[in-house]
Amino acid sequence: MLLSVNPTRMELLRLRERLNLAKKGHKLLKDKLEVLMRNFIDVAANFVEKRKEFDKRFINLENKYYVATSNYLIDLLEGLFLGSTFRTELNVRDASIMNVKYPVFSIKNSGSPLAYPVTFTPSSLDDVFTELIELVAQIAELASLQQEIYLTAKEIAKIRRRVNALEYVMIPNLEETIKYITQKLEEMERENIARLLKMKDIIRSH
Amino acid sequence: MAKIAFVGESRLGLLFNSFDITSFAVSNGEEALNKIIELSRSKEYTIILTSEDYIASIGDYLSNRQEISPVIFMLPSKENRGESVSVIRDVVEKAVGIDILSKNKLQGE
Repeated sequence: MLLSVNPTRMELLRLRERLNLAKKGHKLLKDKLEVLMRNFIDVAANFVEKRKEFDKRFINLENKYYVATSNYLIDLLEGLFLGSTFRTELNVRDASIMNVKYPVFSIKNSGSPLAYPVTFTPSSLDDVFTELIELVAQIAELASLQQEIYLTAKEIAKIRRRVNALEYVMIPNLEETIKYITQKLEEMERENIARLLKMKDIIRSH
Repeated sequence: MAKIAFVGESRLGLLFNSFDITSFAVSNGEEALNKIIELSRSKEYTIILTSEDYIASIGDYLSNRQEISPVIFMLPSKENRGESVSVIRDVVEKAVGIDILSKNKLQGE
């Protein structure tokens, strides 16, 4: 589609500058998209792998927990678990890949979650608690990866829209307009020459 | 300091309580959705854990939410394994145009 501009030399120069800038921007964005995509595929594969393992372990743990505590009423269980000295300190730091910022979580533990009297409870409950310490750390790691995937996907969508807009709308429009102005200027030049020749003929005939 | 919350079944919530994770007991998907929205707005928690059992109620909310924080992390359940990844997969597929996190790949079956 032609841009609505006057076919003048000034406009032609301005459009050529804009076209160069658009081409440079397009190349940069395309490179950024490529790097983000490559990183994204790695992170996604890593996430899928870790999540698969986590899911398996968590379901086992959940089953074990329900079996171990099936004989206890919920009020009794609440009383048994009271007094846990376990503290989960969740730290968040910002990381960035190609200017895409995402949070990275890490967990620092202190104290012990095993506050209940071990003589009253089955030993499998101890296993549940020990394993959950590891799984909580894994949750933090998976949450970071999940967020990285979300945010990178959003950025990729944004860049892709920009790349497409440049590639299929802006650059073709600028090229078409430049071509139109060049042709128009050449035509004006030819008209001018024809006019001069005609004037020369008229002057000669007198 | 950043905090973690758990929204879900009360018995499992007791276990998380022992790990310094604040638990909010809910009995169905609708309650879970309301609680998650409330906690998200309060900005008090950085990670909200919930169960994949409530996917039917909160799936749409998760796919359409625009906020970056808090992170809503879904824990698997016996009946609904891999559902949370399917939500992420939808978001990713919309953005990238390819189904990278394919279901077969995740479940390894």
